[in-house]
Amino acid sequence: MYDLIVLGAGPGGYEAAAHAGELGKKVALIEKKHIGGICLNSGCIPTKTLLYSAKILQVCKEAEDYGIKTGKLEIDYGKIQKRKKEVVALLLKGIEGKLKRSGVEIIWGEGRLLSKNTIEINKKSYETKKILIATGSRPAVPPVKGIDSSNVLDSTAILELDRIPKSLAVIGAGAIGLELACFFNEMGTNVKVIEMLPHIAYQMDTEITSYLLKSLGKKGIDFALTNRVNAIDKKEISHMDENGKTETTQSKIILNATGRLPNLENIGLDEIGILYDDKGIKTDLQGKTSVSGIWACGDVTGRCLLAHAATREGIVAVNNMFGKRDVMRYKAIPNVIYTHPEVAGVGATEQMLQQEEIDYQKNLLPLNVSGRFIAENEKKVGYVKVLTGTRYHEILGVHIIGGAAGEMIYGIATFIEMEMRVEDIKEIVFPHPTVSEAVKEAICQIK
Amino acid sequence: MATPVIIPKLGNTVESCIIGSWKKDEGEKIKKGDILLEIETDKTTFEIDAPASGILLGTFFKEGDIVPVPTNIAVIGEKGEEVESYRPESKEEKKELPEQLVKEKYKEEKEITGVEKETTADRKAIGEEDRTSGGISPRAKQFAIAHGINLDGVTGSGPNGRILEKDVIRYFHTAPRYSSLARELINKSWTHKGTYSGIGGMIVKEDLRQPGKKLSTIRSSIARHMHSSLIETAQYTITISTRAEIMLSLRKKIKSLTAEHSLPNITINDMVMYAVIRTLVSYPEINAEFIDGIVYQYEDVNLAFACDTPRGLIVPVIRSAQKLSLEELSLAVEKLSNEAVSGKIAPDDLTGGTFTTTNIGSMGIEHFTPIINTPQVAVLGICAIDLKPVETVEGVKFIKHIKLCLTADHQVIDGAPAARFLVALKDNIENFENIAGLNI
Repeated sequence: MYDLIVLGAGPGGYEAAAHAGELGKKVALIEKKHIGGICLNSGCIPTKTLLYSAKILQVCKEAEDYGIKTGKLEIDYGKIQKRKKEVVALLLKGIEGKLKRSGVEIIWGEGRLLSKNTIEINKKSYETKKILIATGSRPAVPPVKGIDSSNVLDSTAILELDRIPKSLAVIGAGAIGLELACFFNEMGTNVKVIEMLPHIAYQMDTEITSYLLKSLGKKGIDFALTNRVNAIDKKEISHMDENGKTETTQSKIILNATGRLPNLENIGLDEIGILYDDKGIKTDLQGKTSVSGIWACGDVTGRCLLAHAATREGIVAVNNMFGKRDVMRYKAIPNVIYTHPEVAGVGATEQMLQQEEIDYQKNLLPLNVSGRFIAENEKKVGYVKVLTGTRYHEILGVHIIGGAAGEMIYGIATFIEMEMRVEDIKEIVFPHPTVSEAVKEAICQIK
Repeated sequence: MATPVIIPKLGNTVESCIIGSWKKDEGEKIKKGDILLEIETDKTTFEIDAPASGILLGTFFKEGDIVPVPTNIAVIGEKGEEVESYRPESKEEKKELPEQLVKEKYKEEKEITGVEKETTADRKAIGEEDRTSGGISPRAKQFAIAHGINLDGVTGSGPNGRILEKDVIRYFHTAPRYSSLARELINKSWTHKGTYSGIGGMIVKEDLRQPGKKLSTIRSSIARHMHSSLIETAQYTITISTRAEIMLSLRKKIKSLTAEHSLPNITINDMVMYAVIRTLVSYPEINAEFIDGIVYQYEDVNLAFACDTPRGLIVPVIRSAQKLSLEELSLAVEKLSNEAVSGKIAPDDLTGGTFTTTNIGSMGIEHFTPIINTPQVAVLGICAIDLKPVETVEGVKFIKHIKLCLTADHQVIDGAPAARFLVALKDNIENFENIAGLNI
């Protein structure tokens, strides 16, 4: 009898399993394919290694602006791919070590719930006191004619290409679509992005993403916004704008990055009576599903499709199932897009505040108020946008484009979690010279 | 020569009132007739006008004070004129003594500990201003101010519950933490709901509720009265539908004749009230009060009627209503309603009712269960006029009906007599021309 069986070894499942193991519980972790899930194997981590290679290339191309002459630049895509695999392998070792240290048993195969205390794996039943479902998500395939053509790849398949394509059409300008568009553009591919909405990266603050749109456009990425894909015929994508005007885009390789679907199938949800809809399994803020003893975290709940949210959700669930009161809070989950420039935000976006009719004050400041930003960013722009409550000046949201935005954003998450106000942040000393000083300046200018 | 502002005697039934809100500040220049303040009795609020022009030299009571009537509550005059001789005496004595004691006590303690002079904001932040008995040791206070601790939650272990430094230190180490924002909100009178949603159980904004609004004097009075009515009686409601065609055709006729006959604007509500009065005369057990086990039946119908006003529910009373003609009743209802809405109604017109009617039918309500205005024993709810299918010799016809809901106290009125009254009322309404006595 296990204390806990976790279904799925992504960042939600493996962290939860390790945490339960550290609490001294007998834990089994079921995985059908890869420890680390999409995040480690075909998501967050591989894309970041690729994007860093692209960034090095950019730095070399711009080196002259900083007084450095380079010779002819060459891309060794084989080496880039090899390094990607090495990084993933190294991180995998880290995770395996962590699971081993915390005493988690890994069972390979697909788990199916037979009752709230029994899971069947490879036709063998395992008894457990608690179950955590963390089966994640997969790329959604919209009902578009021709989307099943062999040249339409999803985000997993495109990472395995052995050469850089001449042209790439990306359907969907979410974080995944934009990062891959940015990578291939910098590698020399001719990239066009087709997006249904009028904005890119719709979950981020639209004023900040309008700067991202400009920057990516300047790099040579072509955008067709408010365009719906009608049909794909091998290399041809036919898409239509809001006025009904149809256009055709030619591309050898097409990336389907239209969103993700929860993995709800074949785990026995209906048989046990676990409530779910097409967004995912219904959970409360502790991670409980509708069936007592069964919990869920991560993409499969559809609450917040981010690896770090999944991890926290899993730990909240484990804490609650073993007697430590804990609750998931979603108001300070940072969101980062690793394009060049990088975009990061946490808390409410301006469009959210407007929609919810919350009174707010805002301040938009260029990052070049920071000495370090100017020193390191020739011909580049960056912005920080701060949103606070009108009455008490508490920080509601901060959104940054440029610099190491993703590395700074956790600080703001702390401000929001602690419900700090502008006058509290005035008391914190920020290091000089750093880009983060611009963030402090933007906050402190609010009166 | 300064002019005192005196709260007049408000009829025979009111002995004291509560100071509502001052509309003018001390030192402000005012004109005769300006509204100086609002006062509240348990039934309504009144505005008190300035009796003279000049400077508001002094006010002797603050909001919420209970003041016997008549009393001098303020004085108006020219700058520099003497004020104190106008101040009512008893109040003066009460006010000065404790404050002087408090001052002396602080002086002594400050000298011992060298506490920095605290500001009013400090005192408010630590909750000292709301504390009465026991007090706070100066060292405890210093610690509280330095650490931003509100002393409301601190239990004092000293004599009379006096808060000592060790109490505050213990509280500081064990009490829940507030986020910066939550602390500011607590100081702005938000209150803790009892949840702890932040990091490590920190109290954050979502764990707090916004400051509530204390009920006005009238509202509290209504609340008390309605609640005790439901607790102390055995209420039940019966409903009947009454044909309304006769009243409606009469109303139409009156509307067309109003100008040439100088008739008042007699409404359907007036007509129903008139029928109620006529019926009550024959049913004294309904026109009654039940007090301490004794039923008092009345010959005089003092008809109370509920009025929706900006100040809340006000219930004016028409005395000896059985002596009034329909036109006189209509005029009386209109006059009292206007006075109730404008806040000029005399307190004596709000007492002594023997039966009450309430009408929310004009808003389309089809049925409700009015609550008895105790110690009365019944109340009539007047509902909307609506079509009802009626079987006639020529088949089913849709006829306009008005619904009447009678709530009675089963302690003294059983179902059958209540039903008999309601049926008699229905008869009177359906044959309204027989009782109307209108010569048109």
